[in-house]
Amino acid sequence: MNHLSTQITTSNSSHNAPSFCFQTDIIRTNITLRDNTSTTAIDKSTYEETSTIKKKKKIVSPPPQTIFDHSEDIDATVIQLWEGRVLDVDFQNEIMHVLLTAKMGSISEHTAEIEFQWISQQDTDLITPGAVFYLTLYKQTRHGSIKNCQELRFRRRPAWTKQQVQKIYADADFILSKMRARPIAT
Amino acid sequence: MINYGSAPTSDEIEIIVFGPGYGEAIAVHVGAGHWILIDSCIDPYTKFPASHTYLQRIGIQPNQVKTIVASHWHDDHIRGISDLAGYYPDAEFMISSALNNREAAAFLSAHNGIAAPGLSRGANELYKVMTQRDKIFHVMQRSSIMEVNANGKNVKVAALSPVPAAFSQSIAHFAQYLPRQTGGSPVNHAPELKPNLEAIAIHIDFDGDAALFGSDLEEHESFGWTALIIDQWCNSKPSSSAYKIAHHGSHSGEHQQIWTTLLTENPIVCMTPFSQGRVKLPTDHDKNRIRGKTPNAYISSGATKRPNMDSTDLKRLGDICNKLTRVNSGFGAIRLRKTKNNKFWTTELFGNACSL
Repeated sequence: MNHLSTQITTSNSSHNAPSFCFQTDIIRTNITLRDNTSTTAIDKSTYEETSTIKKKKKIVSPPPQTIFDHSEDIDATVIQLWEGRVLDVDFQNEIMHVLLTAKMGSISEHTAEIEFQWISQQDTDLITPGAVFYLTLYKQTRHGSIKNCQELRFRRRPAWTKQQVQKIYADADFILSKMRARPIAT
Repeated sequence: MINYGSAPTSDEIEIIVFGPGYGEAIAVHVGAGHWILIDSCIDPYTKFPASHTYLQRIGIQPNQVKTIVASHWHDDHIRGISDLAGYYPDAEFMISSALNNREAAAFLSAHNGIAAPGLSRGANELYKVMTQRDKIFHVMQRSSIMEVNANGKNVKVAALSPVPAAFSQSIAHFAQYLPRQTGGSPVNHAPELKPNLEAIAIHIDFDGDAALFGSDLEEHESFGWTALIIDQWCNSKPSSSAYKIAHHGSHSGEHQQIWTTLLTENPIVCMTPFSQGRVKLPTDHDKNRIRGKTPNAYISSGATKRPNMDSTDLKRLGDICNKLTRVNSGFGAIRLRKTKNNKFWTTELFGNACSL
């Protein structure tokens, strides 16, 4: 899971642009992956167009006027990502029994009980035996203070396509053609 | 790494039961170098199927494995079985006749992991074998699995279950998890069939001794163990002095008359534990019940089920999860050997195996 620190600075300098000439916004977005794997900077080009003056003119941008400066320092570090499978569900006590497989490092499989309170409202319809979910445990640093956070989200499965269904039954017939009965014992 | 020592001699019969805490595999030497493998689990040390690791260690050649039986399709009995089928291409591969119908075949095809990875390891393993092999044999009650002359002894391996009457239950179960022809239904993992009436229970008549392998067959008033016990052909089989206890010692795999009709007095029983979700088998009650039946009971893994992860992970996960339990809590094997001149089985325990 990528936890992003995003700084968006937008400057609109059109009000300072010379007449008959406008300059589009300058948008600079810095996205830093907190695992320091990559940094992406996106610059939208500065355009200059003139309607009456045909000759292109170099524009010296005025100092950017910040209309939104969100430079909040948020950092998140993933501790562990678990893939879970629902084994069975106790709706009466609002508990699901799960099998957890670690996605980071070599940790053996574990089983556990998880109460429904940890499940997002959007996912409650997915609580069924066999459902797959991801449990991310991470540390969030915000304004210098560290907080333990977690996110449990279910995987929404795609629907079978007609082509897949047709292939399944064709496969089934192929498999059945290989079956042979063993003789009855004496 | 477990040191298993040497292979059995030609006239020595052997049963070895492997279990890592979640999983079960059995290898049987019926004599004269003929081997049968029943089910499969992964050896946590080698990451290969436990039976294969064992046979390699004791120097068994691939062509000595004559039969591989997948007693049922559940994940804990089938991990690595497609690899086993590949390692022993000459061995006949057998499944339950409950899978010999279009619903079951479509179920395996739908849950083979291609459309939706990771949906069912068990279905995926069986599907792989079925697509790789030219022939798959299916067995039900009274089917002959193997008949061989071993050093002058006529060894007969036969299936005691499933009974045909139980097939309708499994067909209905598989049909429930099939994508509809019209499409549009979501791709979902299929839960395991309960109760398990499709499993193959196996009887081996060594011609002078016998062993019973209960798989995960459960009791049902018409189709489970009762159907075996009331069947004249089944209960006329020689009583078994060794028993791989059914369904991990659970009370649902228990029937009083197994002990009085199908087994000798004080048989040696071997079992593997099952730990997943809220099901932890055998329970203390199960252990007491089995100890009351025989003093010779062994389990492949009696190790702790405490979580195995670093303290940070454990603390964080413990905030959200209750009853955190390690699935594979230890690997072990129980080996029984016997020569024709010996009245008693010799029992050896490996790894985490222990007396019940």
